[in-house]
Amino acid sequence: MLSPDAVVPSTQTPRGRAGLVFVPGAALLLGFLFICASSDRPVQASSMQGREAGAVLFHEKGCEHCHGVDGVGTDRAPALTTVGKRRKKAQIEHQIEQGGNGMPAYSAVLQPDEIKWLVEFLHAKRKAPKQLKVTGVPVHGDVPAALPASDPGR
Amino acid sequence: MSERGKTTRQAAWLRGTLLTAAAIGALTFAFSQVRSARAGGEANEAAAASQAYNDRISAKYNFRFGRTKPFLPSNATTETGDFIDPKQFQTADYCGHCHQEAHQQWRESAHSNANRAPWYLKNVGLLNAEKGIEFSRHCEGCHDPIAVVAGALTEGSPKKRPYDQDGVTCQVCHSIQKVDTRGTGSYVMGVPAVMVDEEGQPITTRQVSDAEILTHLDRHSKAVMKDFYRTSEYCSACHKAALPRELNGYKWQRAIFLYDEWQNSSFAKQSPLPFYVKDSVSTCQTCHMQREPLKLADYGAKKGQLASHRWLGANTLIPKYYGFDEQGRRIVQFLQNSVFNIDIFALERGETPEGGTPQTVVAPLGLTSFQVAPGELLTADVVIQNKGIAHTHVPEQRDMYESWVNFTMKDANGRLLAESGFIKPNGDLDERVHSFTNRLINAKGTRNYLHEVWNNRIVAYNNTIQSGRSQVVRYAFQMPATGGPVSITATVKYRRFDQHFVDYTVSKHYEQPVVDMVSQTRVIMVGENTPVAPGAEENKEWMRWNNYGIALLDAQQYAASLDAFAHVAKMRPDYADAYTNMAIVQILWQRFDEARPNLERSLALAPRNARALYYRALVERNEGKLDLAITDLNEVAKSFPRSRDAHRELGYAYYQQRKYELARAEYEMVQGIDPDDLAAHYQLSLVYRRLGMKERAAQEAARFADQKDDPSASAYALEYMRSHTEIANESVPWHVHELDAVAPASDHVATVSGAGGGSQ
Repeated sequence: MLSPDAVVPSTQTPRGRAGLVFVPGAALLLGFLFICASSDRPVQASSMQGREAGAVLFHEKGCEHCHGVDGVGTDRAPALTTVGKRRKKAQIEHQIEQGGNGMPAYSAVLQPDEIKWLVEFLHAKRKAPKQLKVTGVPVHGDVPAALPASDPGR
Repeated sequence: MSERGKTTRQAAWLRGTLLTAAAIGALTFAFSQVRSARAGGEANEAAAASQAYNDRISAKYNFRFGRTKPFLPSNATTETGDFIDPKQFQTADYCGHCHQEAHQQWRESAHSNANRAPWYLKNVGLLNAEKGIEFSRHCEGCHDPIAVVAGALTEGSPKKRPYDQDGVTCQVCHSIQKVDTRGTGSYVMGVPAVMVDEEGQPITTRQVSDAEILTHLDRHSKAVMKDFYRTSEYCSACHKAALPRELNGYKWQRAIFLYDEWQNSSFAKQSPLPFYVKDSVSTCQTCHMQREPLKLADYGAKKGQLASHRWLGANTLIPKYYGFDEQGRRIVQFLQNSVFNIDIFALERGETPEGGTPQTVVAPLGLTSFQVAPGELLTADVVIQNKGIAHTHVPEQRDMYESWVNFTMKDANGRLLAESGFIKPNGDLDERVHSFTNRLINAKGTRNYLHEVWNNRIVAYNNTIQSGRSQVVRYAFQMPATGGPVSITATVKYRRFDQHFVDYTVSKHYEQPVVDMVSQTRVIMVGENTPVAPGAEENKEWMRWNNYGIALLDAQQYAASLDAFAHVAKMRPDYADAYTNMAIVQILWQRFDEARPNLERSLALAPRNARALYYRALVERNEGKLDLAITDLNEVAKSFPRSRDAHRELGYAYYQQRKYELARAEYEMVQGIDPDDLAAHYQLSLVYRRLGMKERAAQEAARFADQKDDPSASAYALEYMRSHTEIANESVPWHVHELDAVAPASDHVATVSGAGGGSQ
């Protein structure tokens, strides 16, 4: 099983000039991982670490294209800022894996661990950041609370 | 542990850590270089394959129109100028995997069927047989773009091409990198890509997996969507077309100019000259790609809606022929959705059978009391306004399209007494019908009945109805000598093709859907006629007069038009355009002195009104007051920077003042809007010469010579008219359709409303 900490480098696909940019960053990051490992810290996917890994995946795996930065929602897909309040983990996992309601299925795209961390990340989203209300960031199509929780398509 | 020992151990640990990190970094670098080298190898291989394809096609290709212009007579080209291997184009089914809704809509649209419908294939077959397959690039640049850029339209190329069935596929439109507004396929095709790389470059050298797309949707969007896809200019690349000399061996001719018609219309809000003003801008996409809720999955949707890829328009035959019932139903709705206003506006009273009564006009009908004598001869003035289309109806120079006015006269029992615009038992339309059409005539003085546009020499007459304009269609009929009221009904009808064309291209007696686009009925009593309540669709009285005035203006009935606009001014003294409209009549009537006071009245009501300023400038120029004209026109151009009329007139005024650099700038501005503006070609040929730019002057002179009308071609039109007296009157702006008593019922067939049916 991969460590959540290993998510970032595993999702990079450096090519050409981007690869050159990637090298120093990767070296530092891997160096950091080495330090962590040598300090005898246990490599356990704590809930916090899973959430952090999920946050990185959310950025890296294209979720933001439709759900917006920090999941604030776009015209393409609903806001997820409070999805944890509305959906159980299993429902979120099902949505990511199977897609539906305008969303593609990601079961063949993401690794099981990656889906798990995304679920951790999303399920922890329970309270919309206050500034969203101030700035009026669009939250079109946020998952309506009234929908039956048993609807796996949502 | 001592502090020193602790420090030493920490330093050693740090050194070790950094060394390890450096080693991992070096390994990662090496790995990235390997990947980079692999990617470079893929790119080289792909480039070599593209070159090989281009060389292979070039070796046997017919470069009839020049080695550097392989795609003529289409204006299409590719980014490199080389041929593109058709295998680079993903199929529509591939895109439909994720974009199911768009795919389903597209499959039923004219785009996807552009290159498989028999009427198109037969027509192109005629061209191939008569002139050669290389000429068909003119048509295929927009009907089968993949074949054109693949270099398949040459002798000996494969007859069966899998992409032919899909016509204008997803990747055709979504791979175009650039367009200009010359039309006739004036796009630049890129090598199709479904994703760009990290640096924003299209990935064309390898297959991209679904997983890659799904995890880089932003890069997928960048590859397939560009902002200019949402503009009317984008559509102009194909929905504007000319017939170039390379096609007909004769001269450049206008064919379809939908983009220019739109750009000049009230929908674009780029010109001050339309008679009415719209609240907001409508592009091609606004009407033809309205956003609709999804029925199927489509990951390109926003807010659960997708810009329709049905491109609803007027092709009613594709849905009928292929059995696309929803497309057929939606097109009928589209055609019936406030496209026209129809108004049986007036009765002209001629002499009664007993003679003696001077001609008068009773108007507006429905609001006016009048008496009708038994047996009286009346002429109904039907005003038809093109209010909902941003281009001409019928939309293109397509004289095999049919849209016409059906006019009936019925007695109190609904019995048909007289009719114009009926369909005969053999499917042909009544020859003496009023049609919104033109007639394309060849060098033999006959019609090109099968749309052989490469043989066109002249348009014999043009009764298509422009955007925002009105036409008056007149029907003369006789009231019954005895008996009750009669009802007169005028209906605008439409079917895709005339029967002759369908018989040839589809099958004998093939029955097409006929759509009733708009209709109005009025009842005329023998004796006293009193006002009736206006219908739901009836315009306000001033607007009815206004449309009548516009129609009379286009019919060159200047006195009557002026009178109609004077009615508007009387009813709406606050309406500045009423006075401008009167001035327009007077300017066209060459009564410049009378026009000026009306323009001043208009400007008093609406100071600095661009429309009034434009026409005042025409008067000022006519009076030789060029500085005043230029001041007014500059103000117009400031408000409407893309008004080709303002820039054209400014250019001419500067030219008259011998300010050639300024004139040049104005005419070049006009060419930036329409590269084929005839006046700009002519004037720039003069202006460039004055500025010592001999080469460019010669280019413009050559274009003007190629594009100007051929005066001798009128002979072909006259020959056609002489041998077709039944429609000769249609070429006269002011004409009356005499209603005959209806023929026996067996000579008529009922029309079919709606679309649908058929089988795929």
